[in-house]
Amino acid sequence: MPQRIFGFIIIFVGIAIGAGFAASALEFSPSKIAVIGFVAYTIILLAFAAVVLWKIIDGEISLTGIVSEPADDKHENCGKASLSRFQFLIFTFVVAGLFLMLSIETGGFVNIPANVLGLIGISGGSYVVSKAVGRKPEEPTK
Amino acid sequence: MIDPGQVAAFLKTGLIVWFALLAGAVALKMLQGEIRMDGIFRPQPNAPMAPERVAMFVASFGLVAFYFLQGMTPVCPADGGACSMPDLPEGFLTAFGGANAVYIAGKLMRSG
Repeated sequence: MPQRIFGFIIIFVGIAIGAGFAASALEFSPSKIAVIGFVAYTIILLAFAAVVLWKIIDGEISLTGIVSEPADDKHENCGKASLSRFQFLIFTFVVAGLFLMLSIETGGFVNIPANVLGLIGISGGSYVVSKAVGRKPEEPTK
Repeated sequence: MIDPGQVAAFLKTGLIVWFALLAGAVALKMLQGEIRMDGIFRPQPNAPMAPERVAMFVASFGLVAFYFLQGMTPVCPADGGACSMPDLPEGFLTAFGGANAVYIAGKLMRSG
């Protein structure tokens, strides 16, 4: 295993040096190198996103208990659905989705108003309190 | 040479599509029953429906729908400063806080 890592590092460093020499020989300007880096970053980011999405759809990343309370029965994976978790999920989706779309539309990060932050705070607080209230006391150890 | 603007447009489109597919996948798994949604209106699996849960569900969905429709357009100041997401009316926040408070109170009372 260490030999494989060592080999990988040598190949990686070799590719990086080769790319540097190629950029120098082809007289790439810094702006062209930046564009190439941007393309590589785009590919990596979208590839990560696609892998996560595929594993969710495929079921390898399980979402079964995403809005469930902890199971009462040890044989079950998760308990009944929790309203506070569901609420937190839809708020996160809506606010994060709108933030993403508006930031893309305006070309810069948009400000989030205090009332919207308050909304997420109430939702998150409600989730935490509900989790604390719903928690069962631990059985005393013998 | 590739135009950086085209790469940015590709990345933006890819991210929006990814986000929409993620939301769609979660919604589909809820409808198929793969994500458990049973008992969302009940404090315990076999207990009757709790009114405070229904109230909170309606308040949450109403608020989310309202904000989603209102939030499609950014609020940009005339002086060219940073744009902002649309603000929520104060009354909405109070109503939502009230629905959450009633839900928590109900949960506390039932848990004894």
